[in-house]
Amino acid sequence: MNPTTRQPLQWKFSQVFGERSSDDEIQDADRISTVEFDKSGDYVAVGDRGGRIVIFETKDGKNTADQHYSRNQLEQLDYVSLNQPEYRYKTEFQSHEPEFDYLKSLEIEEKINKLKWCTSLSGSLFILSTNDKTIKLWKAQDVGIYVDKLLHCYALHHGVVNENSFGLWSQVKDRKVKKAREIDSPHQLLSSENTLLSERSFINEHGTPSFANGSHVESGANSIFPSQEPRSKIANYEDTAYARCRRVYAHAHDFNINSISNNSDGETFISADDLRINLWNLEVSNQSFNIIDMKPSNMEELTEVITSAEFHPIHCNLLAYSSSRGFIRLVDMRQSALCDYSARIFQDEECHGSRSFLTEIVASITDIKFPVDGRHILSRDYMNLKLWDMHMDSSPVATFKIHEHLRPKLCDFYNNDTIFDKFECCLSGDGLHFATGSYSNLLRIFFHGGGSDEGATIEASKDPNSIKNRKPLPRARRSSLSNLTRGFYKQGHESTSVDEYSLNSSSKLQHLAWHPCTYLIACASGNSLFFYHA
Amino acid sequence: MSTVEAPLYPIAVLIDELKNDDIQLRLNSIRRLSTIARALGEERTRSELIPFLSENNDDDDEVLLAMAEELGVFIPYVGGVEHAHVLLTPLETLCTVEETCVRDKAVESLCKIGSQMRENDLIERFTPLVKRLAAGEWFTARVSACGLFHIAYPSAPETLKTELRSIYGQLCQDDMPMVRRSAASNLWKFAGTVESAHLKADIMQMFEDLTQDDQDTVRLLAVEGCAALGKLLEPQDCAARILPVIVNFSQDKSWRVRYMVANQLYELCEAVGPEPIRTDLLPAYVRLLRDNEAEVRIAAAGKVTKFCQILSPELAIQHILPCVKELSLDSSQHVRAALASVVMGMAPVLGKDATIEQLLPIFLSLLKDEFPDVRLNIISKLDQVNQVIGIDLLSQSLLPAIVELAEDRHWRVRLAIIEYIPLLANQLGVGFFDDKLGGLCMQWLQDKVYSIRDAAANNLKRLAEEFGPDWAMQHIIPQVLEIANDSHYLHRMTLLRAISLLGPVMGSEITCSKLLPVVVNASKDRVPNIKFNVAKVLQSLISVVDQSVVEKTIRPCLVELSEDPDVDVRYFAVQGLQSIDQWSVNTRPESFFLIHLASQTSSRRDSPINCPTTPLALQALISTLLPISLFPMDLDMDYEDDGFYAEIRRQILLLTAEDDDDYQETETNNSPPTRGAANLCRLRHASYFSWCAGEKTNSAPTWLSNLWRNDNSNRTGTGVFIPHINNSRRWRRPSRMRKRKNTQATTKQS
Repeated sequence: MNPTTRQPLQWKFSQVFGERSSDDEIQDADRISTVEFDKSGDYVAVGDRGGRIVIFETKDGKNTADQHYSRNQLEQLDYVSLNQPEYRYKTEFQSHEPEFDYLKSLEIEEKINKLKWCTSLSGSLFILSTNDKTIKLWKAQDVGIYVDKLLHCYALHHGVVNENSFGLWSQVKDRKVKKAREIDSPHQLLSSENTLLSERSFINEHGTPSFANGSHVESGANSIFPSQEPRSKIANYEDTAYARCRRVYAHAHDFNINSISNNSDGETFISADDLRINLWNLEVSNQSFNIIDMKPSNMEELTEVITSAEFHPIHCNLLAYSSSRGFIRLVDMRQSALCDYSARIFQDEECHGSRSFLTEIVASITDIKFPVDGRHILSRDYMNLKLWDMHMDSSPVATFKIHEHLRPKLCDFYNNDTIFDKFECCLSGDGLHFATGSYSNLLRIFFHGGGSDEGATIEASKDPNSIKNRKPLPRARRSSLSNLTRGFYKQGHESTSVDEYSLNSSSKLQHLAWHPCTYLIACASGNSLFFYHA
Repeated sequence: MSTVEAPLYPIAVLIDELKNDDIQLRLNSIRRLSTIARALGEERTRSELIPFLSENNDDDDEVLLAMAEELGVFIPYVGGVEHAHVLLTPLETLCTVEETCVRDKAVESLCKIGSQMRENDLIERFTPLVKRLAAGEWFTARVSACGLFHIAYPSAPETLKTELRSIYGQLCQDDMPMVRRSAASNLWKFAGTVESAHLKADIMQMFEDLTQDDQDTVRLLAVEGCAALGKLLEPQDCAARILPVIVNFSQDKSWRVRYMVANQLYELCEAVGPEPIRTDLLPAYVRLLRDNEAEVRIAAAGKVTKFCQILSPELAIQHILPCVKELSLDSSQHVRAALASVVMGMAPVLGKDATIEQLLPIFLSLLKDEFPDVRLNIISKLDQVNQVIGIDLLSQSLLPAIVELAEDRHWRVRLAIIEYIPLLANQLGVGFFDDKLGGLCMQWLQDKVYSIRDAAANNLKRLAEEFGPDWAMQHIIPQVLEIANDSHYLHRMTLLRAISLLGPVMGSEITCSKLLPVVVNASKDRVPNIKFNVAKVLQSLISVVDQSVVEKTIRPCLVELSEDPDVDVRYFAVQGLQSIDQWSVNTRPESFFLIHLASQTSSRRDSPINCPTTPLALQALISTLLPISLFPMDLDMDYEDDGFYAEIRRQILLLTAEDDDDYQETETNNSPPTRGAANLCRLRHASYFSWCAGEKTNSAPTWLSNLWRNDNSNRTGTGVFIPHINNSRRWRRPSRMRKRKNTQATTKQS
């Protein structure tokens, strides 16, 4: 856990949602299409191909200021590994519906392409979600929190309860609780159909008598609001949240949106499609500004498309976007209103030594990420994971080979379109560890300073036959961590041949996210969401 | 006041609706919050209504926004200034909601209340509130707090003032950029209340911190405050403290900041003396005019005239004019358009010689610009040049520009130039206009695009107003009337439109002799659309011509049309006949008595709410009001009579408060036929279907004319005609009605 020791971390299974038995067919709509942690790591949101968004929250209480503090302390005391956050289902809502563009005779899928958390204000969560064409801002509000807050306010403002106003007030309260009920029931219906929250994972969490957990929730509620009569009635609804669409940012993209990214100023965000990047103000949904336009006047001259775009985490004026030709362009929005030409280009000159049709395809960057400090850029293309230093644009400072063993098969992969699969990448909060996905549900994790061979490889499953490279990890000593973390760790087969890697190209691990504070990765495979920690 | 005695029932309904699940009802109720408060009385408002509103902060934003707005003017209803503080609680919670516009409105209302509060209350109640918000856990509270300091500060004692200043300083360094932005944009307000000693020390320190912020958006807002802050300082302080900042900003790396400077620069010039303008600000401005970012040049070019007005003509000619020349050849069309929209204003500043020598070539080159907006912008400001050098020098190149715009491929460009034709006619004079532009005006009447034809008809009216009826008689009317023989019915329709517009301008005599015969002739057109438009035109001409002509020509024509096979023609013909009757009724004095009578009868009903005939009573009442509001000038009775109006208003209030379902039935049953463009806004499923059924049995027109005859025969004088009433009713509460209507329509269909 100590970041200064340049050792691969020892990864353990932590949690799974929506685990499937092997013979189950996965509905396409249930496949997870994006995963994202919020800034504090207290929440993780998952979008799927069916246009739904599911939010999970940490079990150990809400994101109060105290908790943050204690977590920081714990981190310093090196206790984190004992206190890994565990998540539970919070809420789910339908973000996008399938649509039909009558002008262009085009079907618009409901699939959630990207999710981003916005700065939360006044206790509610804000999420930007996008499908191919339309971006929406969602607010997920805790009904329980709200009612508690109301009571709290009430108690504050009216030390003495006035009978008359209390009458009025209790009517309001009834309305709210009624609302909570109404909202509650459709959720139950939805979740019973949704394999992401398959019966087992749900029941296991709430059904198994877990005294520690149950009592914790209660005591938490009690400690915040000591002995107030009406509260206890409402406390039952604590877990119910409802989501409301606050804004719809539509009709700005001719091509499919591949990424959205919030600016550090908390006011603006960008949305990138294949050829253009637009700048929005969060509060203004009917106007956006085009800042990058790569569309040639003649579409036959098209040589590259935008594959991913992200704002710098600190400098509000810097923006990086990657292209299908393997370039990462860094743009300074201060220089001019249109940023088409003012780019600094990061490109790996080595890669352009021997050119062939296939090498050009695999050079396409599928994802870029900034670490929290913004000094580096992590990029993923089909073959490699690369780490770039912002001060060196001629070559990456580190290259981790992911799919080198597939090189002989590229031709086949081209024929069955597998070569166009897009894998995401992510970094740990300290910027020293990197993770990306691969075929056969493999999760590859590397660390700064280590080579391509020194990373860890995990198969994403509840029962991870973890595949070891040369350095086998020590045997896991526990077969089970607790009744809630139903995973156990086994040592993998030592002899892993190259072929085994690539066999199962239908099960690929494309979407993953790293917890902002601790060594915890959430990765999606099919309809399941796995959590691993170190 | 009659409202105090009014039955409490509507109030109970309003209070009940505050808790309704339907957002529209809640919204209506919130908008009537003052009525509720008046009915409850001051004490119950304080003890019940306000606490209730304080907790009601989880509503839809629309409701919260309305609440924040209403509470701002609520002091009289809670018992005057001494109780104003009770309003702080609900507004404080509204200051923390996440929707920006609600917070802004709450802050605005708090400022309104705070500025009326007694000093004592400000210290004891308002300032703690500001401090609470400034220390809020969520940034929304801190954002709101920034806008309240300037109210709390002046009355605070010295120690509190020091504290407030230091709190504001902390807000300027908040972690959240949103809070810093709010602090930056409110700084000048706060600075205005701070004593000058602290202004120079504390406030300027905050300002300097904000101007060095990492976030571009914070610096942007700091620039915005520059000018206001500069005006608070002594000129020499301003030159010493603000000027370097501005000059720095004008060379900021971020074009957005430079853009803001370009927009604000001339305001700052007013704060500093003439000397710094020449030495510092002028070079900065020239740099901005030559900025390599087009957006910055657009902003700078847009302020050229205002900046020149501050400078002496020599400086302007020496420094600004060369830049203007460059800008007129700028590669960005938007820069040229921005320049074109203001450059004409430079003519009065520079004087005649410089204008002819230097500016004229620029005008001419902009007039030949390939981008239509640039040419349009020049043409729209012609009058300013005309004052200085006369139009003659320009007219040579003006004409080709106008003709080219008039025939532009894009109809919006054509529309824009039509708008300017009256202005051009005014500037160029009758002679020039006749020669060159008259043909164009006629040509537009036959444009392919409806908006152009419509605008062209309107243009003719404005020209007739400009040059007088005699000129119009000679130059417009003959050509217009020729269109009557056009083979295209849309062109003939344009003719009717033109006639309805020209009629009032030309006066009764020409209308009767020239226009009316054409219209009557058109009533025999084979296209129904022409015929019902004839009916509409005739209706509009009733007020123009004499009573005798109405009876002799218009009425027979409308009667004939009212027996037309086409239902729309019949509908508009009946409507026309209706307005003839209303017109004649209203011009007779005794009708006022009837109006009074009508309102009296409806007010005597014991309980209008439970009366099933209420909708009809309401309809009657409103239709009596319609003619009054339509023709107030012709009435010799004193309509300023407040009592009369108050009574009517009360009647309407009572009637609209009654149950909707009763009304719904009457409305759908009595709905008129709805079809055709004119009626599109009333098109709804329920009535549409009933009309379809009616057409088959051919009952709709009979029913309609019966309705009209009945009203006419028993002479109640109120001229009840349902369509008007439906209109006004819908207009009063549009969205709510629509909601109901849709549900009803669907149930009927199923």
